[in-house]
Amino acid sequence: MNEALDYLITATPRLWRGNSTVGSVSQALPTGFYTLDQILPDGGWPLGAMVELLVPATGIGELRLAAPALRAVTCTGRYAVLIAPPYLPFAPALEHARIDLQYLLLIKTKHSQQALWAADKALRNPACGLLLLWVDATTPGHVLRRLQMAAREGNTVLLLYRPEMPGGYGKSHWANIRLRLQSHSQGLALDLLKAPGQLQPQSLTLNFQDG
Amino acid sequence: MADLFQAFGLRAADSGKRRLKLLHQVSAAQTTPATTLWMAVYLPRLALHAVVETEEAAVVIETQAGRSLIISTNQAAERLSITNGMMLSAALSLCNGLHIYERDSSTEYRLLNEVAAIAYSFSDSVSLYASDTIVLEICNSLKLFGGLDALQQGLQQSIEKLKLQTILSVAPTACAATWLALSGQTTARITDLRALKTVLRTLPISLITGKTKTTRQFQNCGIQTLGDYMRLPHKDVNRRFGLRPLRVLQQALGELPELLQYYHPPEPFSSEWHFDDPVATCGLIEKVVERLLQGLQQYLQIRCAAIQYVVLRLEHIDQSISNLRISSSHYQRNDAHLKQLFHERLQNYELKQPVISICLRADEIHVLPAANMELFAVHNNNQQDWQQLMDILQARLGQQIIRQLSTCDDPRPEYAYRFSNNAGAKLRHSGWPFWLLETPQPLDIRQFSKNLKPENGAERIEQGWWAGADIRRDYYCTQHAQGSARYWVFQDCRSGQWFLHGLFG
Repeated sequence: MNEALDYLITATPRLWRGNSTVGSVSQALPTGFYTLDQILPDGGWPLGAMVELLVPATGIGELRLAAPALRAVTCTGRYAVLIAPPYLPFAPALEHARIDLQYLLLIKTKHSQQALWAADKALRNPACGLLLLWVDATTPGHVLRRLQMAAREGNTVLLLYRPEMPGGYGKSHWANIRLRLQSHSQGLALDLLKAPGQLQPQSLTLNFQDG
Repeated sequence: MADLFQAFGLRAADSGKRRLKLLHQVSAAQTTPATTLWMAVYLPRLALHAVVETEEAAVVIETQAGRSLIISTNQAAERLSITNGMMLSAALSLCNGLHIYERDSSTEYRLLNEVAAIAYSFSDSVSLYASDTIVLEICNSLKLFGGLDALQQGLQQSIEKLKLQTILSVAPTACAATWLALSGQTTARITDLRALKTVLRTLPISLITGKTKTTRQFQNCGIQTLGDYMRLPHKDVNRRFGLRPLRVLQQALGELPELLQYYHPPEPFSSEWHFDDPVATCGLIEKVVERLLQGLQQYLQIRCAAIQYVVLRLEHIDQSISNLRISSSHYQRNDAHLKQLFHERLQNYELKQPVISICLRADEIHVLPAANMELFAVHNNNQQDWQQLMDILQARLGQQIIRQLSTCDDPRPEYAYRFSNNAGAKLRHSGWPFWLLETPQPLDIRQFSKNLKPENGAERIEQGWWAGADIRRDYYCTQHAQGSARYWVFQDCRSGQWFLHGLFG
């Protein structure tokens, strides 16, 4: 039985399998971490999708996770936008991560409403390649839905940083991919809670010491 | 039979002669086309449009020598047989509920200038010919705009955006074109000087002299049309009526040169709008701004120019003034983009007082160099799209909200970055964190020693004695005891005080 299955899989490359996304091959922005690319359905942060990152605390390496993607976007002449970050991103450290600061933009607004509006506008702009947005736990679902639509329209990657809630956010969420971040002595521990075509949650550890 | 034949033959010869004459005319027209061609734009209801827009019967009056005369009527009033030149008392006897307005010459002049500005985009020779008529030379523009029909249609459509009624006519001289328009010959298009004379013969004599005593004298002599006038011996007519009528006629026929004062667009651009009633909402102001922006675009287009900022001046009911400045990161001529910038700005703008008038001003006009176009479409709009996005965000959120970072070649962490988009010295530092606290936060040493454990040795930074901001610090990378976040802390070597300065995000 297994032999027959293996044969079928190797002999027919066009066979649709449960863990690949439905429809045409979608493009993705490589995360820069081989092990993470392996478990993400399109082999990276999918374009035109909202990725929700649940962060228990600031300073566990959450920006380090996005650094390779920021580098890839800014070095190819597209813009990356950071909206409502919790602290000031430190330029020498970004420069050390080979991020082109000319293509990096910082938006820090007084009200969260303005931040969401700016995110919506930026996502729809074709020149924007990656958007990192920090929201608080009270941001309503319909607003996130709107952002997801904007990301899809602009074919932009949206990384949404959201504080982790003790009771969770309920069953329905608009994110295409949800990742739970946890601090780890070597780097960062990730739980892939939701991804298209995924049946079981998966976990992995990223080692920042190597890169 | 012979008679008949003879008659027939004669007639045939006669028609042949005529045809020959006609052919001669045509060939003459082909060989000697008019070197100038003028289009007159007559605005028949300008006086009324300047003061009111209404469906009900309305008239505009002007008081001359104690008598109120009607100078402009709308369609509803015309249906009641109220005509221009009628006494107000006579009009009131025809319609009791007539709306009466005083003439507003300054608004008329402003509107006429707006029309002239539109015409200026079709021709470089535009002149304000009368208080309700402009003329433009079109002979040199015909090829560019694709013929007379296309030009006339384009001009008419542009003017109709101002909701003005127009009568356009074409003749080889400005004066003749104006006469044709004034006499309501909407389809009159005379491109040949010979044909002009024939057409002018049928026009009334009042066109030369206006509603004056001379006109009445002409009419009393039985001279009703220009044709009647032309038939008389010039010498005798001049002795009786003066030289002026003949001169005007000769100018109209192209026998004497016409002296015109040409229109030049004002510089710098400034366009005003006065509200009838004070306006307290931004929505209405935005609508008017849209219209003023149309004028600005026209203005920029004819100069191949662009602007970087415009100023909207709001005059409030208490005479105070507020200025709204809308700027763009790159040269701009597209009114749709400016419209959007105004939309974003006005949405958040709170009016101090109701507004009575607004004025849109563009002080600095930059002439754009002509750019070459790519033969094959190249998708290179990224930069432009992005600049437009920046403008929109800044218009709504303010200039200080959006920032770009760059590094500075300074070993002190506080001075190692700048808010600017100029690529400075590339400063790369490996042990430094992604998040920085703009001002270091003092730490309680007892709490600190309990919860945070240092991961590595100290990084001593001892710098800045030359700049007055002398620092001597030992930086540590520490991890929280509960195993979550990593912090960047330092001990001030002078005071011994501990500070939190960053997080390893």
